[in-house]
Amino acid sequence: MKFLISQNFQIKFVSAIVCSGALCVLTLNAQTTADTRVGADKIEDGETQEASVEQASKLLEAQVTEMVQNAQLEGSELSAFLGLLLASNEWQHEICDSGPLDQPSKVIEYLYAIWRSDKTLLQRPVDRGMATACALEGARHKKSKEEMVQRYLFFRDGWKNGLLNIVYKDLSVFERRFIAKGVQHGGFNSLESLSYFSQEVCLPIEKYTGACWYAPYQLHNPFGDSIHGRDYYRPYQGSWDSYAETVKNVGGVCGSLSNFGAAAAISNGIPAVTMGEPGHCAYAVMTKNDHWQPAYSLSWKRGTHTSFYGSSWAWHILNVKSQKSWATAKESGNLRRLAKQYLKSLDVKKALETVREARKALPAEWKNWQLSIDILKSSNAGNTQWQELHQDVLEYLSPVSGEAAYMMLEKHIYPRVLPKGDDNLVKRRNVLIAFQRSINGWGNARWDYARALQSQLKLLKGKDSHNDAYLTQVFGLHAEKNVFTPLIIEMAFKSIGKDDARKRQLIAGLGKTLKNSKGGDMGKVIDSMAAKVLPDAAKAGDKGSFQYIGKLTAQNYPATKVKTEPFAGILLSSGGTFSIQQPGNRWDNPSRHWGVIEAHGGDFHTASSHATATVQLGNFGKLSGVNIVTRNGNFGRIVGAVLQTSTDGKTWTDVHTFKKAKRIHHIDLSGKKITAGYVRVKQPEKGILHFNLFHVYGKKQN
Amino acid sequence: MKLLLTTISLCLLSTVAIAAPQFEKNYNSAAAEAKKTNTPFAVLVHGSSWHPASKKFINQLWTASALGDNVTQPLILTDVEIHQSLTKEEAKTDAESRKGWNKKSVYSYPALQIYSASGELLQNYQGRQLRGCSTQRALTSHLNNLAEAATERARLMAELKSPDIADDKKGQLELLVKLLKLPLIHGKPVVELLKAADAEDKTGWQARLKFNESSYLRHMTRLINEKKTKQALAEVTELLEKSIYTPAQTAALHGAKGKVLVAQKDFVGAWASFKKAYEIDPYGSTGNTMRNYGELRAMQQSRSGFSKTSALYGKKIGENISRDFATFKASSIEYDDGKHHGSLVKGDHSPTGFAFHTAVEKGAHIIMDLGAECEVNALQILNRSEPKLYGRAATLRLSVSNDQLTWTTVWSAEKAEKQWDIMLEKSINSRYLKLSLHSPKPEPLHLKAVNVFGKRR
Repeated sequence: MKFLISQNFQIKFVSAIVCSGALCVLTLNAQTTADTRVGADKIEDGETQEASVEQASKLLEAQVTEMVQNAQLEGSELSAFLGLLLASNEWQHEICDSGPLDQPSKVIEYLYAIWRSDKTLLQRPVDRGMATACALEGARHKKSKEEMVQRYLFFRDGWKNGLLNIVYKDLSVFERRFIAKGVQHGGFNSLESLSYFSQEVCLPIEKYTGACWYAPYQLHNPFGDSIHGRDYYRPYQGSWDSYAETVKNVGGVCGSLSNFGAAAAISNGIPAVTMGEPGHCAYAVMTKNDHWQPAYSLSWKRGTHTSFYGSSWAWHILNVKSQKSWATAKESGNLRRLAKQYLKSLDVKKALETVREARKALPAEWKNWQLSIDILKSSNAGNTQWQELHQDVLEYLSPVSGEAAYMMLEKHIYPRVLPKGDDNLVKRRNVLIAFQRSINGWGNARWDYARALQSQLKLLKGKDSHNDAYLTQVFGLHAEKNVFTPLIIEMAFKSIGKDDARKRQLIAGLGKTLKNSKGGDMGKVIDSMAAKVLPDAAKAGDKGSFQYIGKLTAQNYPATKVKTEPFAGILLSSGGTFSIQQPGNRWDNPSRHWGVIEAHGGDFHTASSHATATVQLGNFGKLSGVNIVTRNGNFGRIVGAVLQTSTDGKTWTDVHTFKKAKRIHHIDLSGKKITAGYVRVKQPEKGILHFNLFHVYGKKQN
Repeated sequence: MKLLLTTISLCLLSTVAIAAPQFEKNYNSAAAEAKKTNTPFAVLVHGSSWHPASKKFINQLWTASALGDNVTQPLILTDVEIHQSLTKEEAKTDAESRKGWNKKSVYSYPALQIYSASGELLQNYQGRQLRGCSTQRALTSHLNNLAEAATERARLMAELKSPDIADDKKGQLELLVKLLKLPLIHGKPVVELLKAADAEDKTGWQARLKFNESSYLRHMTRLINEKKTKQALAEVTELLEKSIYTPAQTAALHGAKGKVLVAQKDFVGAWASFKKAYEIDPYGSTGNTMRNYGELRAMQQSRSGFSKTSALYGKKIGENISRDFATFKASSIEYDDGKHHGSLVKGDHSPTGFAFHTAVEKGAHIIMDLGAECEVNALQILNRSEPKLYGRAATLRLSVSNDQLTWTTVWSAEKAEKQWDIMLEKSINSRYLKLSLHSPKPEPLHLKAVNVFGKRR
């Protein structure tokens, strides 16, 4: 991205520090003026570049100076601190451009407190970055300065002594913010817990996704008190040196276990975050550069506990993306500062041009979009400017994040651009459908598309027939990729309720949009869609879509009549997903996959090499057994296959080898203490698998 | 001076060395060499490519020159490196390089494992245990101790398998007890030998090895939930009588007994059991846990216990002289059906949060009769549970009398509290105690419990 400034700024900084004994009263004034009427064409390219860099530095320095000006700082070391701060362009960028800057003046106060505890930190980029991250998060979450200083010192010493994972060295300030914040359960953030994890759960980076299982899953403690009451951990106070060790020894349920796993990673210098899911708590670990791996996760509906702008998983991934290139993030910050400067000097046109350049260059940076709105609002911009922003959202933000794009549209843009009144229904529909055209997949991560669609129907303000027509049109747009179609169908059916005539009409409409379907026959439409949707949903781990569409298709094929003896606990496979290698091969009908893991029964048929049949369980659990009923013939094909379990769907452990050719396999796993989220049968080399039932039983652990 | 002594002692040790440590390039060659030479071997499992401290440990301590003559016991050394962020292919090749080594036993890196010559895992230092070996002296000391134990184990095992002792159960048992006292992990083979030599578990070793504190408590909880408290009490009493368990295990048994007694509403006995657990294991996590649990479930109900933060904790205040003797009369009774009056001095607290409730009146009070003149040293008064209603007792006073005509005030509350633990300035001889409010406006008096401590005459 080329950064051009066509103006000649004059920035004057006047600073004076008046000290009186131990107390220093800071008076630091920044006066920034700009002459925006001087054209860039008068300056040679090289000079322009040089001037640009210089002006960007001055604007950055002005931002930091303003933060300092509003901060309450005192002490005889203040002038030394400010001298270092204002002399380091990189440090200023780290403070201002590493994600949201909440409570800016407080950030400086925290930073000053940390610097006072370690005055040489600036000499070491790793420590400078961690100090900055601690200041940003300390201020944002109103933590005590003492706590953040101690946290900084723990990581400084840990790194110095080689106790942190090697990845700690190259983390950005943004990534360090997750380490600085810590996890949701405060006990895991104490120095004692940090030390415990550093010694007792020191692992290769990818293994932290399994660290939650170091603590046993126990709903009741040995005394019989539930974790949902206040007495679960109370008897153990003071029994071990840290909260972490207490949880390791006593156990907990998903909340404690996920916090344990995330805190273990963080304590070893690896960014991690805990997340709320419906009825569950999970976590995620940054296992590679810019890659966050969900752990102990049951749903895509995740709300991260360290979040910026929005708390969903899609927002998390968007924010990560915005910081992927530090050079781009800095340049983006420079453009925003320049745009604000234009606005301050009342050159709205230049302000809009500059912020547009910023959002096109780095659409993942939410601050670019937020500033665009701020400028349009503060300048009372007309419809043309709002339309331009609307188009940019669709063109640049939608492909990256449908969720952020729709939030921008719903909250800020539709109120300005959506025509009102009954006469404008068609125009409204055209505006709304433009968003649907702009998304052709999940973008960075799955998000709540159904909520957006529901919101669009409300904004459409049409009758039932208009809504159905809109849904049919939206279905047609997304039919080929099949990403959103299960959700569209689910919403349509739910809104129609028991009105069969309306349902038939809708199905006919939907059917026409599908290839190889003549429309009208609901069963065929659903089958045709399910054959595509179920494998895709299973591959994506999307239990909601797999289950909804799977249940619809089950009406079209008979239940399996073979009865099996259940194992203790619940049918853990129920509510999950099921996949095979090469679904839809010439022997396989994926529309019947759902029944295989449910009481109903179904069938599948793998291809002939490296056959696998994988169940993502509806619930994590301690396994008691597995029942498999093969198709009624060729029983020998399962011989030699192995039954494997996994907690993450990636690392597998053999638990049983199939040695006999028979139809019903009743595999008792009750004594093996297996906790799993995934179970699969795999043929090591050549071979075919074809089952009617693949049932996994056990005790739920989430 | 210390350094000099260490150096001298290390030099002396080196002069009597049996064999210097032999470094092997990988796990497989170490295991093969160990088998061939009938020597135990040590494996350092580390991730030095991603854990800089491990790299430092290897460079500075885990080298032939660093360990050299300081390891005086016969021992073969090798290391296993665990990498991170490998591709699938890399991981496959990596796993091949350490085939035969069982990674399941490592929960934190680095780890130091000691194996017998035949490849049995005998000790597994990791986490804090290994981090404590970060000096050459500490490391070599541990290696020597473990190697010596491993060699001794091999000798004892050979002796146990000798035909000379095949029919001598007593002799076998003596050898096994020696073996069990070695600082090593005692796996299944040892347990099997123990079962054969001591079928009735007269030594108690099997019970000790098998006993899991949490599992036992869960078992007791299950019996209590199934209303089988008599059976539970009989079981735990029988185990306690055996006196074969470790301090932590014994503390767990006393805790379990306390829990059963709580279920039977014997709070005095329960609190005594929980305290006993702490006395037996005062520095262990089990003793502490049992006492904490006792504080939650039995201490206050027993009317004779105080938390460690109480002003009365550890003080010589005598016995509870109100629990089994005191009666009381209130100035009036309102909003109170009288069902829980007894809970003022005895047993579980009232579920309503108060034992009695007077009318809203000026000078609301109760008069407690201890049944006879007693020496009173201390009182514990529990205010009504609801925090919003604590305030009504802000002007509480304690007066004493022997004739109910002349009252002497001996204590006044400074402010409303959830609980007052009162150590009287000096002992008083008194039969009647009056707890009264002195608010200028009418207020009701409602307390949860009053426990009086001293001596009955």
